[in-house]
This record gives sequence, C-alpha cells and structure tokens, in this order.
Amino acid sequence: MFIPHSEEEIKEMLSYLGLKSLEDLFTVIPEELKVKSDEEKIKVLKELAIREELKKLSQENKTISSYISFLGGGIYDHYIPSCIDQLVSRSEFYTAYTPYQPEVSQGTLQAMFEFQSLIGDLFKMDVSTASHYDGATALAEAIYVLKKKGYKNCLISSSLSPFYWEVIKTYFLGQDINFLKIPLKEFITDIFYLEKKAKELENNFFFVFQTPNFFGFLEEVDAISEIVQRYKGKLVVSCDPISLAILKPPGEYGADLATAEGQSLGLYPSFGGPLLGILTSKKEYIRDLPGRICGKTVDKEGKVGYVTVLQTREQHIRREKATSNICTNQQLCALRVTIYLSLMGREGLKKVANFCLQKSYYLYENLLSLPIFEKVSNKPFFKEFTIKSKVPIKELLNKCEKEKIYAGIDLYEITRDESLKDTLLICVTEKRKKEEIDYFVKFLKRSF
Amino acid sequence: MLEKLLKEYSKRGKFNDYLGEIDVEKKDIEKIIPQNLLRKDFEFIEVSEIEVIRHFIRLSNLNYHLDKGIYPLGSCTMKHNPKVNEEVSSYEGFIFLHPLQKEEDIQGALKLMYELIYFLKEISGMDYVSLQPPAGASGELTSMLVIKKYFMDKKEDRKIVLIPDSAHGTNPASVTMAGFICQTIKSNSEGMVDLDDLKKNLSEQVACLMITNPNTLGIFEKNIKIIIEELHRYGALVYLDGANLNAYCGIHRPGDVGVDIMHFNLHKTFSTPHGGGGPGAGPVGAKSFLVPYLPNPKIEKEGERYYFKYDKESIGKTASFYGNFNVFIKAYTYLRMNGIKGLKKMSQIAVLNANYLRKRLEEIGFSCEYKTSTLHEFVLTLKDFKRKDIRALDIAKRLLDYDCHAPTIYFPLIVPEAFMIEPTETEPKEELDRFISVMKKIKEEIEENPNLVKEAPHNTPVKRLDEGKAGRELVVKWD
Ligand SMILES: Cc1ncc(COP(=O)(O)O)c(C=O)c1O
Repeated sequence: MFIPHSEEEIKEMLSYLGLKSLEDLFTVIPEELKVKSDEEKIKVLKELAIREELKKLSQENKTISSYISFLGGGIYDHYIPSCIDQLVSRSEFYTAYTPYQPEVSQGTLQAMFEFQSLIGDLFKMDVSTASHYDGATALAEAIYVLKKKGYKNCLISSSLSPFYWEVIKTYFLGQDINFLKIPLKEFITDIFYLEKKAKELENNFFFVFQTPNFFGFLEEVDAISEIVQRYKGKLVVSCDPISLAILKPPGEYGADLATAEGQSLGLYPSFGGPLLGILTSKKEYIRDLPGRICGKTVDKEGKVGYVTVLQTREQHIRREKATSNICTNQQLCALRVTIYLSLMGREGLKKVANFCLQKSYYLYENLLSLPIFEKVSNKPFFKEFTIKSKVPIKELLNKCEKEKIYAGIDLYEITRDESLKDTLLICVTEKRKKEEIDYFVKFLKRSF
Repeated sequence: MLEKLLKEYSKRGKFNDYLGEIDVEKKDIEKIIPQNLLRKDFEFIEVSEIEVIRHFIRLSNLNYHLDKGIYPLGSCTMKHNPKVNEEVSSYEGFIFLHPLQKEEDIQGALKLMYELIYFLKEISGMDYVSLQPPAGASGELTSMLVIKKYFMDKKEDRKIVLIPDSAHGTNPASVTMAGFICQTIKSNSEGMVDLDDLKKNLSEQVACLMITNPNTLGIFEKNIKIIIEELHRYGALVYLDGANLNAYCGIHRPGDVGVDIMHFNLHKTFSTPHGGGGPGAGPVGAKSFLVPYLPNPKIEKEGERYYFKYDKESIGKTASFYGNFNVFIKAYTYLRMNGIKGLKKMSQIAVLNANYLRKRLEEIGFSCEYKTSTLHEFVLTLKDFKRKDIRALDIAKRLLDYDCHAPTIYFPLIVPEAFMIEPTETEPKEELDRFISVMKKIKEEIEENPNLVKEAPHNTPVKRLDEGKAGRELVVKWD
C-alpha cells in the first residue's frame, strides 16, 4: 500500500534499468539468503476495515476516562486543552524530520528554543536540553553526566520511583559506579543517614532524589541541599513539573542537574508512552549534557534564527566519545508541552497546581475520617499520598473496581517490599470532581 | 525575526481559564505546606489562546515537511505517514490507558502489542521482540546491555565491540554507554566489511560485531553469512542495526542468516511519523538464547488471555513502562494494511526508486564513491565540485531553494563530501524526475555561477545561519 506508481511506470523504470522484473533488483542478495515461502502471515485489512478493527481493539480496554481514577505513580490524568491536539496535528510539525536543515526547520527549532526557555523559567535552571525519552532515562543520563566527571558514589533516596530505579540499574549494568540507597523516615529521605554517608564520602559523591517523591510526599529540599553542599557533593533531582508553579524550584535550592517526567504537561497517559524526559542543568554543565540543544543566532543578513548547538558533543560527530547515544528524541511531545505551558501560563499553572493540592487534601482528610485508613507520615504532599489500609488492599481495590473506581496503586504489588504491605498510593488531579471524590468516600464507608 | 518569541506576546493578566471554579473547600496553601518548600515568585508567560494558536501556526509555516514534497534523507526512510494511523492511534480506548491498570483491563493493548511482536518476528526471523526501547539508539543500547549480561552470566570477560567504519554514530556511542570498547573495522574497495581486517581483529575478547545491512552505503553485505560464522567461531555475537530494513522486507530475514540480536526503527520502516525528531520506537528482536535477557516485562498469551511475564535474567528496563505505545498502534495499523506481501512490494519499489534515481543522476554526471550495486539508498560523492569551491553542504542548501529537502550529508564518514539519498517507495516518479532536474540545474549553476550555489539558500525563510556565533554565544533560552 501507499505506492504511488502505476504499473506502467514500474515497467518503464525497470526497462530504463535494463531489468525484466522487480526481483531482478535483488541479485545482490545471495539466492540462498532469500525468503523462500510466499505465505501471508498477516490478516490484511484495508482502511475501511482497519478503523473498525482498531476501534474494537481499543474497546477491549477499560479506560481511566470511563472510571473514577485515582491512579498516578508517575503517569497522571491532567486536563489537556483542546488546542494542543489541533496544533500538533499540523503535518508541518509531525511529518518533518529532526531539523538537519535549519533554514527550512525554523518552526521546529524556534519551538525547541521556546521549550528550553519555558522549562528554564519553570525550573529556574540555566540550561534545558531539547528532550529525552522519559523521566527515567533523563535521570539516568543526568547520573551519566556526573559519572563521566569522575563521581563514583551515587547516593539515591529510597523514595525514588521504583520504575526509575529499574532503568538506572539497567543503564549502569556492570559499570564502575557505586549506588547506595538512603533509607526513609516517615516516607521521606532520612536526613541523618544522608548526612552520615555524605560525610564519609566527602568530595566524591552525588545525591539523587525525587520530590514530590514516589510516595507523594515532599522532600526537605533545603536540608538536603545544605548537606550536599557542606560535604561538597553534587545534587540531582527528579521533580513533577506541575508542582513547580507553587513549590520551590530546583534552581532555588542549588540542584546541579534537575530532571522530570513531562507527561503531566499536556501528554495523554497513553499506556505509559510516549512520554517526555526533561533534563536541565546549571550553565557549567552545558558541554557535558546529552542530546540536542537549540541556540539562537542570526543568518547572514542579520535575521534572528535558531540552530542546534554544541553538536560536537553528539554521536554523529563525536561517535564513541559522545556525551550520549541519543539521536531521535521526543520532539513532538516537547512541542505539546510548549503549547501546554503557553496556554496555561502563569495563572493557569498555579491554578492547576492548587487544584491538585486542595483536592488531594480533601480526599486525604475524608479517607482518614474512615476507620479503615491510617496515616503513614505527617509530611506534606502535593497531588498524591500514601495511606495505610486496615482491610486487605486487594479486596478494597476489587470492590472499588466493580463500582468503576480505580482507587489507587497497591504499593506492595509493584515493589514487593514487605514494609509497604497494605499501603495504597492515591492521586487526585484537577480533573477529579468533588462529587466523584465524595462518591468514592461514601462507597468505602458503606462497604467496609 | 520571522515570528516573535512567545514571551513577546506575554502581558500580565492574560489568562485562559480552562478549569473554572474549584468545587472543594479551599485551604490556605501556607497552612498545608511549610513556607520553606514554597515558591516565592513565579515569573512565567501569560498569553491568550488566540495568540498562542497564531504563533504556532506561523511557526508551522516555517517548516519543510514530508506532506509538502520529497524528503530524501538517507538512512532516515522518510516515507509517507498514512493519515489513518493518526486517527486510530487517537481512539479514547488507547490514549486514556494507565500503565498500572490490571492486566484484565488492558487486554486490547496487550493483544495489539503481542500481535505487533508476532509481525516483527515474522519479518525478521527473530524468536522474540521487546517493544520497550523508545528509539533506535535506545534499541542499540538495550542490545549491548543484553549481550553484556549474557556474557556476565557466562562469566566471560569480553570488552570489545567491532564496528565497521561506515556505521552510524549511534553505534559507537551506544557501545561506550554500555561500558564496552569500540574497535573499528575497515571497509574494502567494494564498500563492504573487509574480511581480512575483521579476522585480524577477532579474538576471545570480542563480545560482538555491530553490523548494518544493507550498510549505510546501501550495499548488501554479500559475505554476511561468512562474517557471522567468523564471529560465532570465537563465541562472539552479531548485532544488526535494522535501520535499513526497508530494503528487503519479505525478501531476506536477518534471523535466518544467524543474526543474534537486532533493532527495528518503527519510525522508519513502518511509516510512523518522525514528529520533527521523535517520538519513535526501536524494538529489539533476539534469538531464543538471548530472549530472557530482553527488558521486562514480556507479553505472553495463554488461551485467549494476554499477560506480562518477568524473567529473572533480564537486564531490567530501558524505559519507564512498556515503550512508546502510541507509536506501536501506528506501526501495527500499517502492517495490517500491508501484510508481508505488501511489505515485499514496499521494499521492491523502494529499491526501484533508489536505483532509478541513482542511474539517472549518474547519467547527468554525479557519481558514487563505491561502484557496487545498491538497494534502497545510495551515496554520491560531491568531491569533484571542490574544484569550484563547492561542497556537499552548498548543494544541499541550494536544493532547499527548489523546494526539495536535502539528502543526508557528510555521512557515512568513509565517503568524501557524502550525499546520501534515500527516496523511499512512496515518492512518485514525477517527484523523482523533478528532483533529478533540480540536481541537473544545480550542476549547471555550479559551472556557470558557482556563487549562486555557494551563497544558497536564497528563497528560504532565513538565509544560511551562523552556527559559529550560536556555538560561541550559547544563547539557549530567552532572558
Ligand atoms: C543506521 C542508523 N542506525 C541507528 C539510528 C538511530 O536511530 P534513532 O534516531 O531512532 O535513535 C539511525 C537513525 O538516524 C540510523 O540511520
């Protein structure tokens, strides 16, 4: 399908090449290396039928849009303004390649520059790259930056997403780097333990943490930063960009590298992909950063334009000495985020963040008023919290599901950590209505 | 400036209220969160919806794109992106799926992935495919890690990865990231792996060879079988960079010749759009002895039920969840519309287009560094024009003036002034002929008025941009 030639043209082109058949084009492949069987292994459907087929397949899924969903854990159901789908469906954006010819790619490049600028403003960081695959790989790449600068000891908070931790372990399989997990106290990093380790490893360590952390709670960024600076380490954070409209941004507490999953900013949950890795840093790291970065310049008549800069860091030039292997990144996702941030603007972002905060506290307090739940921590959270259930989690989740409610994530199920037995991770975004939250609470009250 | 920066539209007080009033009782933020965790000042843009829309529409007008005309970037397979892909991948039942829903609730998604895996297995001759890597380079890294773990478990200390000098830059970069050491293998005068040089570099220290076939010159490695046997004789493995799969779907299967592990680029061979630089997808296929090492989870089927399977030997994960699912839907749709027979025709026409273009360009005086026959792409050398002080870059820029996207330039590195052309099967003959006449015109211009080419482009939104200045000043965000 999608071959634009008439049979006549094919014949004409073959005859121009002095060939009889299309098969003759492949004489360079030794005969014994060719596929013998002509059996069709795929049940072919054309456009008329494929739409129906895919519609049916999509309906074999239950969606978070047809449930009252409190699922989070790294992928969030935030509101997406209608403008975004309309604008990114312009084929000028989505059918272009990576901007290798800047003179005819100013649309993509300027959007890239604006993405970097908006992320820089949101994070209060000097430099942002153009994009990475997801929050997990952006964080792994940030660790790689410091490893290459000679830092061998990576302290990691145990409150980091277990999904990110899996990716980090994989990226550094069998490599010369020591990972040391810092335990938690009240579901946030144990500051005293961190201090002890930082002191032991003075001058040659960096600390990696997430805030709001995987359990939803806010880490004590000032205390962490103070310890890291006192013992001359480096600081790497993974944060929720939506939270930064009201929470202290990484640039204000001295993060060397700050990363994030950008899905919250206008991307659909989409079964966990495509996502958007955000990677920012202090200016001094700009030459060590992985991946594409867009910079401003002028053309030969002095007109402002944009190009990718510091290409000598990248694989196509530096090859085995490149700062990373990344080539294709997630540009269209970054474009979505750029449009999202522009539409929401200063007030809109604050509003989203505040809605998340207010609604999650509203649910939290209502749940705590039920006898089946108890607190696990007194620390503040942002849009997600962990809570302990006195009834078996499986039973609770199943009952809720029958009522078309996704009550949350069974933390033991995904971590296999005994200390997390019967804990539930619950997320409330701006999309959850009060009546849905009340319905959920009433249902639990009735059922247990 | 062509279009203002977003920031220049910003005025305090502009606000698009998408959320309306809050419906729960509001608390004082300061009462919930301690002062020292709060943001003090939040300076951010404020732009109205209509201005945002106009801004991005104006930006879109500055892009050249595939829906406008030929995009012959070699190694990138810029083929038509069917519109039905975009439609079906936006169905609510796909985009509102959360990765942590129960298996019972996501059977449609698992089924789609399971079947896509099956299609890719059939096309490649591999035993299983992990869809997880989000791009080609990630597929390479994943493959290197699989090989690393395999040898770690076998307690064999192998540090070296062999890479032909024609390889794509992501290959050596992935090798280093995985903690291996690169060793380059020379190409021979036919533009293929030099067997003698390969043998010289083979030892029990070698973990694998990374090979691209057809290679980046568009040339099929006719000794592929012998090459693989050589590697295997030393207990080393063979990884195939599948970026060039568009050359032989339904005609040749890498798995059948003994390739142990390979990656696919769904955003090349299987028509999913490039998005101006992603998202793509770079699934990895492996032979059965390597399958347990592939990323977790795998997708299996029992009766009519699909489920996730975790292997303890696995390298772990190379993405947060299951990969770029939305891209899978597009590739799946394309494969269902084509079938293996359709893919065969696809490759045949891709090779027909490339050969037609090559011969016509050679007839008007352009030439390839290597004379060997090529499949879906070919690489011209433009070194002859240096006598007029014209470089590949200049000719690329002049093409833009004639509403053609330029081919890939300066890659592969073994061709001086390389001009790598891949038309793909979806370029109509008329468009190829237009491209040929433009190339002919530029050739004449070089003889008659080389400055016209040297100074190109002339008709694009901006003229040639000062990359030196951009690199020196490093303005990478607005003030
Ligand atoms: C031969 C080859 N290998 C690997 C890659 C890397 O693929 P990706 O850009 O999807 O990471 C490319 C892409 O340009 C390529 O042409």
